Amino acid sequence: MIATKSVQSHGRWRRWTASLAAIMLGVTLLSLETLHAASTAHTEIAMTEDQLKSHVADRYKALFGAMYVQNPIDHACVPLPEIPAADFVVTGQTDRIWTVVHDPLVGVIVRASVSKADGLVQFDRIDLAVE
Amino acid sequence: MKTDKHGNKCDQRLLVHIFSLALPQFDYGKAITFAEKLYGSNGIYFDIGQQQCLALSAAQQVKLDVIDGACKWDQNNTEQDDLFDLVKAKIFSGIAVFIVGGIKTSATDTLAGCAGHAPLKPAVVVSATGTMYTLAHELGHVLLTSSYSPVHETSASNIMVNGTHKIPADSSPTFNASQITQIKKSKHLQVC
Repeated sequence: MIATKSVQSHGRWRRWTASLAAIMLGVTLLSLETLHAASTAHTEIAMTEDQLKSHVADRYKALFGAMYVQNPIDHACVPLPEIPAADFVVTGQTDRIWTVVHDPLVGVIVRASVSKADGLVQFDRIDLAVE
Repeated sequence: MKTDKHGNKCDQRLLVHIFSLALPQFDYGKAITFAEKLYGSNGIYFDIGQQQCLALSAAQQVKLDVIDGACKWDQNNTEQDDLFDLVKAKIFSGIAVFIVGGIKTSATDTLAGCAGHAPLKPAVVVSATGTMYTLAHELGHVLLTSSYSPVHETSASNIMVNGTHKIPADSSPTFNASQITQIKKSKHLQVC
């Protein structure tokens, strides 16, 4: 009798341990899934088109406002002109960036990418269109 | 079907009238041959209606040797208007090309060419200090129109590169397929 009771008690312990392990595994998997979702989520900053263009114009002015470029025709060094925000055009977007450009017939060509996550502006090479 | 002198078949015709006010520093013959081949290879016959050296008064020579003013889409500056007035009686259709001593949009900004023009005055201005590719490039702007983007390409193998001085000498830059599709819709092209 005693031996039988001992076997039943041991069986209950194993079932309890197995249940606990299953719960722990579930909790772990849920935590990992939550962590993964958090790391890949795109939190997009809210910006109107005008705000986006203004943001790029401000960054352009801050970075290049005091810079000079050489005109390839007469080789004179000329200051990069200020570009009004309204002259920038939003030409496209992906999941992560907006593309904003200033591509006039003649003048300064600016191509920029703006991160949707944090608003970081990355400029391609600034160039001068002379024809 | 008509073919041009380079053997290209003619689907459409680009009529141009070339007026010189200054002696080009680039190779004019090469510039014309390049334009013929570039447009011709895309089925567009580069048809030169007239090539003239404009006789100007002394005052006109001083004023128009260097074209001063803004270069913007769909508008002429005053001196571009003066140029067009000189030849408007000679042009019934097609695009006027003016080769001038220089182009300046301000005291400091010198251009190689300008394709901006008033809607009813189709013309381009090419600086004598431009390259053998400038003429074809400016005509490309007129045919592509202001609605086409990008206005300039970054690759020197494309004629619409942002500065034809970047194109290696004696190379043959082209249009891409998207540009050709747009160009073929131009109101300036005529039936062959």
